[in-house]
Amino acid sequence: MSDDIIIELEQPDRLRRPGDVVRGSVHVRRGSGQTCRGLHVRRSWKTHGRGNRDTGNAQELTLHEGPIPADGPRAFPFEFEVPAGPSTYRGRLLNVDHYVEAWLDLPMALDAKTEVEFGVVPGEDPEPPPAGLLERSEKVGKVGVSGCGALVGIAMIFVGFALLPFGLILIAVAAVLIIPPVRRTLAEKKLGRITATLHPEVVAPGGLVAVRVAVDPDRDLSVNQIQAILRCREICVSGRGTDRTTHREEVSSFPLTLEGPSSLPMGQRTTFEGDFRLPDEAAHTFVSSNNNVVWDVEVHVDIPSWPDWRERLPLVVWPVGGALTEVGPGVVAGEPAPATTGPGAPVEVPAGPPVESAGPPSVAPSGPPVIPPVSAPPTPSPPTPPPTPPDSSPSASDSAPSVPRATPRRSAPAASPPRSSSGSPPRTPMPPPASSTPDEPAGLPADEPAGLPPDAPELAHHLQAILAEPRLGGRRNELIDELTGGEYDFVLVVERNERSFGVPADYRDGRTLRGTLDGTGIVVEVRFPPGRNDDLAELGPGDRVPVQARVIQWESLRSQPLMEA
Amino acid sequence: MTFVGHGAPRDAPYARLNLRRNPFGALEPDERGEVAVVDLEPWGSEIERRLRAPAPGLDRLSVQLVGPPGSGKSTHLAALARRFPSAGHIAWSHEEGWGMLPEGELLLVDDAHMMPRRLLKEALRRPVTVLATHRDLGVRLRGRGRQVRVVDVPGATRDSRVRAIVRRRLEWARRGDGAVPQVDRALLDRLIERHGHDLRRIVGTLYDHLEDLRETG
Repeated sequence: MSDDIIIELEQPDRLRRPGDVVRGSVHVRRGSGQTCRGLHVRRSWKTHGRGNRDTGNAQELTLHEGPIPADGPRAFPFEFEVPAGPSTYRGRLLNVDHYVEAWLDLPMALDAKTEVEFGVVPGEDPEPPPAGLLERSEKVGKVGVSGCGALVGIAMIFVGFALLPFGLILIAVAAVLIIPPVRRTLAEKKLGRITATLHPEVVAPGGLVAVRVAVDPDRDLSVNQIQAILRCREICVSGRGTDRTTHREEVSSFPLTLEGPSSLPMGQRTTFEGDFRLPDEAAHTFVSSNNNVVWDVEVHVDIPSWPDWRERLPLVVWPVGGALTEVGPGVVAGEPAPATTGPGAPVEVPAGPPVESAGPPSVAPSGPPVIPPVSAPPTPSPPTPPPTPPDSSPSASDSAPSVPRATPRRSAPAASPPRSSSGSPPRTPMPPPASSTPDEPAGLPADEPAGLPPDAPELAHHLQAILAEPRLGGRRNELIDELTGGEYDFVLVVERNERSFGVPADYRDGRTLRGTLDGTGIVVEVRFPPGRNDDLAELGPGDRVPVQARVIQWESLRSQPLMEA
Repeated sequence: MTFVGHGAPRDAPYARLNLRRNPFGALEPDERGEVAVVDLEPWGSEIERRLRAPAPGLDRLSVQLVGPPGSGKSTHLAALARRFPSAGHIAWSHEEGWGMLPEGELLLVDDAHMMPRRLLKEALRRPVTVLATHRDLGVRLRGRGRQVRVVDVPGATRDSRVRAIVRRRLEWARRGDGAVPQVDRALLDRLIERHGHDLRRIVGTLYDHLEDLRETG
């Protein structure tokens, strides 16, 4: 940092959103810059902490070319547009900050440099996550050995035996490579067909994530426990060459027991479900060359006297603020209120319209000479009262009662074939609502069915029948299975119109409409392919639009169907 | 810990400590050079003389910085790069391997013990090379007709230097006037006793200490 130049930002304490403008001036000390080749300024984000520096989104301006005359202007205004991301992040191994840097380009000498930081929070209409973020996040978060590693391990064992006794070292290394895949294979042999899924895979802070584990064992099987653990980790790489070191820090860990000791009957598909609610202040997924914040859910099936089964399911936390994250009336009943405490403190975004307007980066004309306070070093920040960071240690987080909102549920063994999101099977009339039978699992109460007008569409009657059933009732599952895949015509009264995210390729960059079936209060959500964007772009709350769409899945968290047009 | 915080200066995470960032985190090469506490003499001056007035009859010069990982070899190179801005710098990269040799009369080579023979041979054609290496490459260098200077990096590290490094880093990360945190002398003595002159481990431990201080006050 040089005393020759100082950056003064307008409203330095203000948190900015993407598209806002960060504006300020670079002040050059009198007597400095007379031999410089130019004065430059750059806006970018940079990481700092345990890992090597990553940087991005740089914009650079030349404020002055050539030497700065002694009697010329001393203040050089600039302005930049705030980029779409990443948001400012504070962690233990990793921090992401946005900076404005300025430097005097001095010939045959080290440049005189200075920098100031400013905070960036998500905008009101954030962009969807970049393509491939989920995959990159999964790759970064992967721990252990691939199948390829196991093959290498087997080869090493053969070589090790040939080189005994020195080969013992090779055999030991090979064992480390081989054991994890072998354990998994053994576990899967016992468990039969097992799948673990997350929905959605992209979620906003404060949103809900459902984890579902389906087991269909080939023989009667006992398990000690089925557990899902939602985890956030910082993973940073420091050093280069032989000094390269990877640092890992578990920022938070939320275990959720999906099932305690129990027996799983042979040949019967049993499903275990539970929900996590992310903290409102959850860190966004961040993946760069050396610094990463990754989320995942690890599913762990504990089999007595047998290797356990583990699976990591990647999750992207992104400030999408979209349909999948808003908690509607369909949220699991009995759940406590949304978390207000967690491993982080929320960013207080100042209310009211932004003071600065967005605009392209530009250099404002140099104003009259300004005498900056260059005779003293930068004004020290006034001491601030120590913040009271919430305890984020894993153990403390685990015991926190409000984070996450984890509600284990066990559904009855599926009596009907698995739901499919493809094809349009012939629709069958929906049977009238039936009350739950006494032998059904003690479930959550049914959703409140809406009263339907006589001319309500067929879909409304079907949905009403489902909503009248208890949430964990087997009958409800049957009705949902019958509904899924069917095509329906209806008029949708739009409540929200937004860009789709985390969707199949055919619907990527399309729109998602959420609204009610006309004349009813029943909520549905419909994805549209991008080819319909022109028709839909202008639709807003209250608009009515005729829709023909197929039910692709039932969103149990919100008790509503997800449909594709 | 705060996940998403206030990036503005007054509320920045280290502002309460009057710091811009954790000074014991990873530094970029130019920052390393800025905070380096190293003694480049007398061989630094010898390099300077060689570069200023190349003597045709004189053997080319190689300076070896020898020491185990974490002893400060790369920091010496960073300080040299700062002193000789036109020097070329090459290091093995996890992603790209060695790559091409950079331009420059003075060539700085990190992890020279890993350098392929052919590339090292090419590097030794430069008038002056400085090699950071885990093991002494003197035999190979002299065999190629080089004058060799050997710098025992950990041997040059005194306790006082470790203390100076810590002070320099804290000053480097200073946000403004006023006090910055100080590392307790007893703690530093304990770290030196435990880690010897493995500066990387000492600095890594101090990183965690400062993070604890930031979080708990």
